[in-house]
Amino acid sequence: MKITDRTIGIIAVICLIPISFGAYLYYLRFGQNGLNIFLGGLVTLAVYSTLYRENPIYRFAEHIYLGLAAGYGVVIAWSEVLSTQWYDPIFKQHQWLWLWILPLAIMAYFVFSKKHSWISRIPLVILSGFAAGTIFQGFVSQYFPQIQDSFKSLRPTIYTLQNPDPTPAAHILSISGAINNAIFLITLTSVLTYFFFSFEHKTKAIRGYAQVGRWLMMIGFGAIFGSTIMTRFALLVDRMYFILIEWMHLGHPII
Amino acid sequence: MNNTTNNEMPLLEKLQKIDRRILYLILIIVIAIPTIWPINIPNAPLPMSRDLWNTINATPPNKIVLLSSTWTKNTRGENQGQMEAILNQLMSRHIRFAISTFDPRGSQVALNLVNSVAKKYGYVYGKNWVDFGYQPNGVNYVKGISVDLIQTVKRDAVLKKPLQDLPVMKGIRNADNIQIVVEISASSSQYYWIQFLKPGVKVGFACTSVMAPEAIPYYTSHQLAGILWGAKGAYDYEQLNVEHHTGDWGSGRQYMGPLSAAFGLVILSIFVGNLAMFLSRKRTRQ
Repeated sequence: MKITDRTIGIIAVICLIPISFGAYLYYLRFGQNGLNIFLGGLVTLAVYSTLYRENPIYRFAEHIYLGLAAGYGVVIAWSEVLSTQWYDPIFKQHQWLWLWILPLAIMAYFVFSKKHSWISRIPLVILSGFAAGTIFQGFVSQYFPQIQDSFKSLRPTIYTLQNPDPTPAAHILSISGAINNAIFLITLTSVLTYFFFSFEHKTKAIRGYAQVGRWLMMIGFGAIFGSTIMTRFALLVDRMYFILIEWMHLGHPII
Repeated sequence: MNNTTNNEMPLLEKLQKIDRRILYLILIIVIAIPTIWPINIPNAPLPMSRDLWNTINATPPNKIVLLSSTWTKNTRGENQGQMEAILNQLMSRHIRFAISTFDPRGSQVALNLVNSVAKKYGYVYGKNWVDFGYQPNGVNYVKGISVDLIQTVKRDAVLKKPLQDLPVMKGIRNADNIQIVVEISASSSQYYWIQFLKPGVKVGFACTSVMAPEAIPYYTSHQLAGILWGAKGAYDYEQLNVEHHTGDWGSGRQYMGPLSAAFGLVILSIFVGNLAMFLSRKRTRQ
């Protein structure tokens, strides 16, 4: 027998009675925090129910989340941004010069007018100017030290395999460190060769070196993918901990 | 022989076509067992974790540590353990600190966590620590505190008092009075600090595992003073805290058992799936 979405919905509504009773018992035993955890556990299970298949319980939880996030966003936009950064300085501290932002902000809404949409470009141009100047400074601070750091020594400062202090600040280069630097330089130059499109890769040596760059990138992507898996699993482990330990009290929270 | 081959063929094919829901169920069981009955996984802290710990530990009395807590419950599994471990160290060493966030939802999450740890150490708001609150414009905030912290932030986020009136801010004027800024983040907000913070002020980064490979080049180029690599970073920091009596074990150690079990399952699944594929192809060719 195939279970339809409507059946799942009806079962979910019927389940609301024991769930409400359970929430009340949680509240009596653990207080407000207990009630929060109880509701959190229910929503977690509702969201994970999509692993079995798409269903109305999952969609219900999803819509609650979206509604909460949108409402919270509106409140924050006023209480933490507009109120503190604009309204309060003008109307409480009488810094009237901040009023010039209002017509500029209104101009942005002309994007909805077919006839006057050009007006909306004015605040955009001003913002672009700010952003361009900022990004230039950011680029220099972010990438120049990286370029500087790409000039690495290949000559060890101590002739031992293991570095006694492997932190970069120690400036000690062991044999293994020199090998690492050599791998870094090969990776850097071979990947740059792979992405060098100004001339055709005609000679066998350049084609081969670019191929090495491609392989090294693949290894890098594999490592990044492994780290992605690690994050996703850590989040799953945390949710399992929440459900099993904090919600169901099946184990001791501290080792 | 033929009978054996015929019997094994469906098994090899079945191994490659296991229903994903069965795999989810196995994964849940594999994670649930070490969660309920914890196991300890041996650990050796990474140099990048140790560097961050050492930098914070060397905070002189005339400086503060700024924790930029740009994470929410979405990444609790990694970021909460990191922040809790750092807070344990700060409070056990009686270091003054401030918190701020680039995420509107991060403000309350950080505040709740600090309050829960502060109870343990008797840390008082306004005297030992302060909340700068949500900072909507990251670039202006970072550039502003580099020059004049008091004028940039103006009021704290909890008591809404002028910053200069709070005892915790005594002697703190700008970024020169900050020992280190630690960005605890699930987004790319560390770039605000790398790009726009006054040169010479140290920056640490506690991130999710997925972001760590991208951050490592900034550690080797000394743009980052240290990195906490996801849940492993939290475990590293807890271990350093325990070794130096500046904190207890927490979720970093707790999660490493289930996490390792899950990795084991993934490696086993990849091995079995590939082996079945190769054997299946070989038999098809025969």
